[in-house]
Amino acid sequence: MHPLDWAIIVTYLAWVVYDGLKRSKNTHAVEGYFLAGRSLPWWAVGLSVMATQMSAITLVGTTGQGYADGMRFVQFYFGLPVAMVILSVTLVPFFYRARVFTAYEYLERRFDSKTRVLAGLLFLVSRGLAVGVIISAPAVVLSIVLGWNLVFTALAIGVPTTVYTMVGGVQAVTWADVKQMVVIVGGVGTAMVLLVLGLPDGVEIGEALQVAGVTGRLETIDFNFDLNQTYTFWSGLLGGLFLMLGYFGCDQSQVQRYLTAQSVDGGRRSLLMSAFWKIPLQALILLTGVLVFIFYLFNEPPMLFNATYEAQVRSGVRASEYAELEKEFQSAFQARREAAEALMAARRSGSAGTIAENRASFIGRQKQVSDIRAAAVDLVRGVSGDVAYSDVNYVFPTFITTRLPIGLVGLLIAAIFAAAMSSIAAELNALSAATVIDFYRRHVRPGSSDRHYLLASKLATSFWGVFATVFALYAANFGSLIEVVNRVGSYFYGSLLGVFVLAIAFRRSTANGAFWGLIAGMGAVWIVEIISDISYIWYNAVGTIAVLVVGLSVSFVDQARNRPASTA
Amino acid sequence: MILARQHQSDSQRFVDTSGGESLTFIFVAVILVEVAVLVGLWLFSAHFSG
Repeated sequence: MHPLDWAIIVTYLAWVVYDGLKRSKNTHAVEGYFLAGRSLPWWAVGLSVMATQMSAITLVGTTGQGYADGMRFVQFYFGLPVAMVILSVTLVPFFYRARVFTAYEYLERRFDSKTRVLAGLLFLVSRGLAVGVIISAPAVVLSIVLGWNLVFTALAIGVPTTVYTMVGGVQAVTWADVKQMVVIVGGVGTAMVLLVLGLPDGVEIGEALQVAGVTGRLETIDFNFDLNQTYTFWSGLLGGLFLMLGYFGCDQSQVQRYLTAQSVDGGRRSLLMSAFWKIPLQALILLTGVLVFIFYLFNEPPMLFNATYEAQVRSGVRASEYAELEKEFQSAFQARREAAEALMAARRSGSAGTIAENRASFIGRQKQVSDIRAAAVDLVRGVSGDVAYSDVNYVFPTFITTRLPIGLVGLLIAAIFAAAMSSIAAELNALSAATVIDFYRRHVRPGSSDRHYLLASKLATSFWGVFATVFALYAANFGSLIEVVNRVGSYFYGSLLGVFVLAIAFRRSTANGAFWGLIAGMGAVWIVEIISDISYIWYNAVGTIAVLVVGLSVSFVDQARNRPASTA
Repeated sequence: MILARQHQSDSQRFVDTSGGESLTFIFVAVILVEVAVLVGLWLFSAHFSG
């Protein structure tokens, strides 16, 4: 990488840390440290909400998905705007007016200590491990694409984030998120402009998109109702609704964002910002991936985007097989480029018969390229033993480092760092809040001074930062572990959402009902996962419904039991 | 104090639109914008994938 790109990345990291340290001036009390004294403007909180949700792997994986599969992933977010409206009139005013630090704190006020402890523990375990993955996944990709040492890359992401989060608390997190969103959107926007400007002479963006459309990459809406499919209109709108309600309504890393707003209206507005912008932003990021696909229609792509695995295969016992595939790939690429050019020429001439003929030819050539790439990926899986290997996450970073001009490489890599750091910082701050407020202050050391809890909060942030960075190094070597961690969240969110619905909507629900409902909800998701092929996007709906059914039933029995005793 | 807060929280409604200002217009706008975005995405697909 050019020294200028290095300078941009180092300057960016130094700027974020310096600004975070400056924010420590306003965090002399626990309420300031975790909730910024409920003083932040709604637009900053709104950007922080969006930055927290967009991790590096979202940025890198989504562009890769656009490249390999197209834009249908955008349907995943169709339930988000409705979820934000529902939360704005239910949980947001509820949490805000309850004056809580954490969402789980409310569960003890409404039910009992054991429900709060269980919810808090689930959050700490699932998100504690998830932060490790949020560091690990981009660290693995960046270390391979940039040729950096993995430990160095993980530390470069984890250490600055931990430092500014620990010192500056939620104010540092929020204002860093604001800058990071600007860097992310600016980076993606710049990449899009360069991709459009980089089209070959004489090729218009409209006709290039039509060629990509022939491969199905621009299909954004699928109206099939199929519970096994994740990316359909109905899965996104209904399954995604529960998922987003659970994530934004019950995950402390998000709840804590809107609790920092100046008023309940500010909290609502911060969520509604995502309601307006999330789908268009995701569509643009996916479209960036499609534009990278178009770029590689006219410029030869690497057969594999993971250079480390490529080198491993080249030097291994199946090197000759790989060399053979590579020759086939080069000629298949040339044939596909000619077919794409012929299709565009046919469209210009306007003859329907020629268009159909060239369209079929291009589809055939595209399939040939895809088949060869699939064979190369299989070869990697066989040689490396990494059976889950997919090179989708390496597409965009490889494009950045090999095709963008000096200076912009640094900006885009800084954008990937920004996406990772914004999610990690919010999670660390939330993990610290849950550790200190829900456990330390409640069970270990109640009644101490605010100064003592502030120190404990900073130590807890450091602990989670160190834990996540160390865990990231282990997670990097265990692909399946990453999958397990990601699944834990889907067991948890829907069930917790069910408990909050019980708490707020059903006044007769009891503490036992909530506790056993929460356990039953997670059990129901686990059973559904084992016995069916239902997509995970529906797990939150399953969890919520199971909690309501079991929670209300147990509450009914509880009340029936208590009634004779109270009237006797 | 906890009991007092519990009472305060229990007295709130499940759906609470009260606040310093009415956000009804923004809620309606969110839904209308979502419909417009989905229609836009569908037209985009239909135009370029057809």
